[in-house]
Amino acid sequence: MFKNLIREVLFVGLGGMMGALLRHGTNTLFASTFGDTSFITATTIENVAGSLLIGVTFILMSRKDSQNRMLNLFLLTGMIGSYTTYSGFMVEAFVLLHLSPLLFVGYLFSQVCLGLIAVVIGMKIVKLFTNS
Amino acid sequence: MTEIFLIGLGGAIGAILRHLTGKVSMRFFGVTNIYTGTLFANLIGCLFAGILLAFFTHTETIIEDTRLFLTIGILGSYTTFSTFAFETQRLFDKPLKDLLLYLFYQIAGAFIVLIAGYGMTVWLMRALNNV
Repeated sequence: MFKNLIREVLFVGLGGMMGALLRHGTNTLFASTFGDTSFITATTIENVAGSLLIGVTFILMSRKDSQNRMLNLFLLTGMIGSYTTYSGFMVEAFVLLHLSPLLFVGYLFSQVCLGLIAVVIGMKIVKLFTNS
Repeated sequence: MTEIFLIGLGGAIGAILRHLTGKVSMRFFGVTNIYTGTLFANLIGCLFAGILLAFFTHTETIIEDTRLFLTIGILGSYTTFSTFAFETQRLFDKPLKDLLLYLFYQIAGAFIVLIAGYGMTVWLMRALNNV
């Protein structure tokens, strides 16, 4: 029981480390390419890409579920979970609220919709290529 | 180099804390419920994001490494968007009430706690500076 928890923590932690570093890499790349002036932010890209990946990974992993529990924790909870962020998303929304309420609502609405669409597309892609 | 190390370490800590939050919420609410670990992690994370945002915008001497470790590392990884989007998608098969309530807690709830954390911290910092 305790040994299992240690294993879980190790896999989640390793995935989390990689996800956070990839997010930081995306942030840095985005800032050097676009600056920080646009409506679409690095967080948007990370969140939408991560949502697409979670859709893809979920369908792939649901095929042989229980034996891949540690891989599941590493990929889904750790890496993809950490690559996307909610606090960054909300802080950006908070900053936009100071600029204009319309931008604020538009930002929240568009991010949530894009994320949701990305999950569905991710799931559909896997189903399309595996004919199920 | 320090930056990479701190963000990696913070990211690992954040993800582990999120996993543990999920375990605790599962014990209290079970698995088939809108009160998921992701919801609690995002709410708690946004409260701290508000606190830190207030602190960092109202303090002159911030060490950039500390900021990266706490915000990009720990909080960035503790909270998650991908699982939020995924759980929302799963709720489409459930009663509409569950979906709307989940979205309300995640979006309005997270934003309210962020503002509350921000406001309380600014107030507290002002009060302490005036003593």
